[in-house]
Amino acid sequence: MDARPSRILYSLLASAGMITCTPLPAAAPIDPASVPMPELTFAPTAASEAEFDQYFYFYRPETTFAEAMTDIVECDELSRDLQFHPSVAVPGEYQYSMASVLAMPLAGELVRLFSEPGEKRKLRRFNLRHCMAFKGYGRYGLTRMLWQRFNFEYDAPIDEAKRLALLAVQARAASGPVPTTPELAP
Amino acid sequence: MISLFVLQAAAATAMPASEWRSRAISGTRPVLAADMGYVLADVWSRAPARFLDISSVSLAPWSTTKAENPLVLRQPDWRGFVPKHMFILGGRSPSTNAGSAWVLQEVPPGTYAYLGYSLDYTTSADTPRTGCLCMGSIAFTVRPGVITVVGTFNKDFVAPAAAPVEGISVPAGRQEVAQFFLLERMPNWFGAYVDRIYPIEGLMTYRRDRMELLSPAPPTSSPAPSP
Repeated sequence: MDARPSRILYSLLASAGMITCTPLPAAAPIDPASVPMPELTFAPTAASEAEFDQYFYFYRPETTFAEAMTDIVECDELSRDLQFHPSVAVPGEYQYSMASVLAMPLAGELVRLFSEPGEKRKLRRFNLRHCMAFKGYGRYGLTRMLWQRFNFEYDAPIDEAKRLALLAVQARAASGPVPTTPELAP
Repeated sequence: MISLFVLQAAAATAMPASEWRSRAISGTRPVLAADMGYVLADVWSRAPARFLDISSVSLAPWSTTKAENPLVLRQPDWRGFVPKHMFILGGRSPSTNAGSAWVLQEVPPGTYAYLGYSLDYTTSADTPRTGCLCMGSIAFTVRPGVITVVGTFNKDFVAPAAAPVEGISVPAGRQEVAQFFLLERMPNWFGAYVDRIYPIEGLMTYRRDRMELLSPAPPTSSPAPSP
């Protein structure tokens, strides 16, 4: 008997079939010519480079606008409705005391009060970077001023139409000309 | 006889069917209920996997809101396969990790998706604070009344079982290898960080964000005679 697990497992998987995801429903196709190309050139300074982990755009060579739009919408979808769980634990011998039982939820709510918006914005950037890196996109830095013109934070008060329009501009950049700035770590 | 299994009774009290928790069981000849499934997995011994029915999970801590219908989604076409059951690893800090062990757990039968791992030792079964292996994961089917061996599930790698496991106190003859599915996408149910499992050696790899099954090595045949 061939004891190599991969062969056995492959036959199992082949019989079971692979579950693939269905592509995005074909929304109204966007004409890339109608989407403005965002301004991406700037003179990098030390201050702007320090913010590249917050302000960036994606680019992948040999990518059409429609592909980039699909990818960006999908990654945006994975970065919505995020949750923040402040985990505050009282360490040591007081962990199971009545005082800690009362204090831990209160402390957690305090942490939530102050850091929830920032943590969610951070998590959105994290998810976008991971998702787009898995899809093979490179990440390129921007200044905050340029970034704000066609990007939005997690808690930005925008409706679906505005969101889609901004995502389209991001897709335009992702499928546009080759960036002149160096690629950053994903 | 000393059992090899790690005992961790997750819940001693009887709970409503929608709020069950998995139960670690022991013994060489465990009594199997006909309507329950039994998962045999190599997991962190100090933190047995949790098997959740996501329709009963509250979506935020300190909140009583439940996912009313897990199949109602914003873009249902995109989400693809939506498993009702989730499988979560971890729940202990790494410092208390005492290595891995084969753990037998009693769970309701169904198809379980590997949602992610958690290093948060305050995690409760009601609010899974875990990453989401949304962009590449694996699922397995647990049939009722039999012991399903699913293999090694770790933070760093997944090794699906290919054959019954020898050398543990559940005899190989009583094990049944699970049926596996690759999940290219999962919904980010709990609004967590996005990740994917490592490629599975000899079986699955990624081409960008797409999963690809590796075909088994072609059978070695004698070279064709040269004319």
